[in-house]
Amino acid sequence: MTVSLRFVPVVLGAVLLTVSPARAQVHVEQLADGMDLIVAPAQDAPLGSFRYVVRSGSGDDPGGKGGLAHLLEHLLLQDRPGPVADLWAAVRRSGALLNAYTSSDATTFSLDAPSRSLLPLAEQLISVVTNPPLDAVRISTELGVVNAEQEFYSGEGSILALVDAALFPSTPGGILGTAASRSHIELPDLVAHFNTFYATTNTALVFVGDVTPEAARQAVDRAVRLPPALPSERRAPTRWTPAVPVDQRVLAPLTVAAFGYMLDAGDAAACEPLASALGLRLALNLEVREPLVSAVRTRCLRMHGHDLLLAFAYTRSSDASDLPNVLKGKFADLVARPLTPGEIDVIDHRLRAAYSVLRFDPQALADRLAERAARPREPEEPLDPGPVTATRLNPRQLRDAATRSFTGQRRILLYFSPFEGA
Amino acid sequence: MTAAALLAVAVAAAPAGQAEFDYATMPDEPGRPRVILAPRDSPQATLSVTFDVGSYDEEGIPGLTRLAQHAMLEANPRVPYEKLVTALYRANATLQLDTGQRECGFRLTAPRDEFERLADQLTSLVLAPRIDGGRLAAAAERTRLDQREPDRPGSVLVLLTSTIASDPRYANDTYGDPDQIDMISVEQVRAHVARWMVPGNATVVFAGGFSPATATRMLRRFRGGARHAPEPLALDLPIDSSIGAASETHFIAYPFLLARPRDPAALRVLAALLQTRLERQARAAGVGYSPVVFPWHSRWANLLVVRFSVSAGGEAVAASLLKDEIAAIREGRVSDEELEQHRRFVLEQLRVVDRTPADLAAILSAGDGTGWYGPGLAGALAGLTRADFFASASRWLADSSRVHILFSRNAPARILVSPPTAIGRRR
Repeated sequence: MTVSLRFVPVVLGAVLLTVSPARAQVHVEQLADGMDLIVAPAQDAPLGSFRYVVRSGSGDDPGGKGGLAHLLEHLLLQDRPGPVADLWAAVRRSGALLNAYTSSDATTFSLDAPSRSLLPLAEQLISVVTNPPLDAVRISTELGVVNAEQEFYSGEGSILALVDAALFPSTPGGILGTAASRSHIELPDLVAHFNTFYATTNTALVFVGDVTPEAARQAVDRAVRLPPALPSERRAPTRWTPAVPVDQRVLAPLTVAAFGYMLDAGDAAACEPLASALGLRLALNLEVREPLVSAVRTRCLRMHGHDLLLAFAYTRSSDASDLPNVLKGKFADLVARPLTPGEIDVIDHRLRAAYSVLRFDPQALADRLAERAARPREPEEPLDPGPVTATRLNPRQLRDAATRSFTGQRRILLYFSPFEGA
Repeated sequence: MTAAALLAVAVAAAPAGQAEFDYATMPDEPGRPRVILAPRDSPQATLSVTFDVGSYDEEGIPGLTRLAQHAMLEANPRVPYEKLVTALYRANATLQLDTGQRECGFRLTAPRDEFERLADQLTSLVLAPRIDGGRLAAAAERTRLDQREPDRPGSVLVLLTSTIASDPRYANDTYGDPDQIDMISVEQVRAHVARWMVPGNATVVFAGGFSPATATRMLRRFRGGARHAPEPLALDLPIDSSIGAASETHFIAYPFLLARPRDPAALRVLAALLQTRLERQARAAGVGYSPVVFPWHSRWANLLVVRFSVSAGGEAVAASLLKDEIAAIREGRVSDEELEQHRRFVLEQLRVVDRTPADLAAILSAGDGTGWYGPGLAGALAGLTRADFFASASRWLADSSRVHILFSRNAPARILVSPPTAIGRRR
């Protein structure tokens, strides 16, 4: 199961979630057992999505046992006779897709299915996750599967894993852990982790599709096998301190630069418009006017409760050693050179276009809502499903946010190159 | 075809195109693109323009096709490149360039409201290009910088065919040699475009939320050039080879022929079934993460492809289970329930593809009248009997027509290569 560090594609910036002109409202409530329920009804949508979100990921792995949360995620869906095999068979029969992801902050079980199958399959999935026969799991074989995942896992996800490791070196072993740390994980560790972190008060359920809140609530009532958590069991989020600034050069077969900043806590809402503004200038400058890269993408990421704005630039040039400095200059330019009216029009339009498509994409909307639901929050803090409108860009606010956040103390650089680094 | 005839076809296509798996084609006419229209009720639309030319056809000028593609966008005064990039960004649209061995293409996906304006620009750029010699250096620089994104499915197929084909032209790098790109002249680019990248050698697909009448009007402007249908990939079967690598991956491929009406359905069920069984066994044995099985259907190659990456220490077990699972299907050792599950799975997944413009355009751009995609699919799946399925499966999975390339830690390093890793599957 793939390590998926939380990231919100820039195209989803500043979207409207609470009110949608063409579709029904997003419904948020806390159930009696403490679970959060989020429903985005889309009447007559042919496809639907469900996300089971546990607000705990690799950040809660115990010392010396890195990879435990991820291994548990694998084991809960390990295909073995009984309810799990029944679930997999029903998933295949329905033409659905079932998957799961572990990040630093959360573990998410993901189901995308034709509308008519969504609720029955979600019920089966909920009951599997909330009542796992952990004593029947085969740990040693699953360790082999994770070894293969680690060996063949690559792409941008691994760059993000390295960003995570660089920013939070105190977290035990990254999301997958190491073969050595995983070898120390035993059944009692898994049971203890499940009992502590899979509590109802640490869980959110997201439904998107042709589902009413009432129908979702009934399905959840029928399926949940966990005892209700006591108010005292609500967990306060773990606070991680990032090791910024980061400046790492890594010897690699490809040239990729990941450059950006950890945002000031009050500026998270500005991340998406900032990413869009930056993306426009980077595309025009580094891809069109003075080509230096083959592609450059900006991303808003969330790691261990911190918001990051990063640009990822790819090139085959053998003379790219100046790329980190060029990226640094373009970020600084957002402070020094205000957005022009033409740029504001482009960015505004882009964000609205992204929203107009999101409304019809249950999978993307479910991922978006799951990401919001996974965010660490204080025990009494209500769940915020995210921005409610495609707000008009405020260039002054963006510039202020950039001024606060784009400082040397918050800078992050990981430069992968065949020519330098360790 | 006359304008009136084109419009008539388009209007006829509109209601029919809404049906599941349906699409309309224009009658073939010399000098005109092959046109496929698949309108759907979707907030997005995709335009795919594919030319039957790739690195195989470069005649000793590596990277010529890729450079010509960049030149069509960047060294083409029909739409200034900066204006195009800004328009795409503003619309939150994507434009993807693909360069393969026997084909290259452009794929635009945009929100419905923005699509037709962008599609109009793209068709002008690539179906009636004017290559500006003064801007070629910029296009060459972009080609030189192209960083191949790791793990794209196309990379797997390029690697596979370059390894198994006896014709050395399949080994030409689809992105060319960065050190030689600057040596390509504007005359060479213009000649390549004039011969190969012409309306008459193009396949144009519109899919998703667009107006067929507008699309047809848009395409009426383009005419010229001849079709160069690629000859089928010739393989000297069976092929069994080991290549030294840093990690162990099996690539297995079976050429297939769609000989019976239900074969397109049977092949998809076979791929899904084999993937499930391999994944289940690999995970149960703890030797693999996510085997992938998919049918690769194009105008020049038809292969059922299996890619199975094996964790260190699991080599012997993996080789054995791979052999056993393929044999089980070939010999009909599959329960009715399993078959039924995968028949339904394939149908539902095809419905998802049918509603996703980019995926639908990709599948239709390889269309060639073999029934690979179309309204008959649902019926073919529903009517696929056990006997039909195993008759086709046993024919396709014959050992005598198998390609097996093993990238292995234990094999001598015949060529320096790392097998591509994960594609898509994430659990």
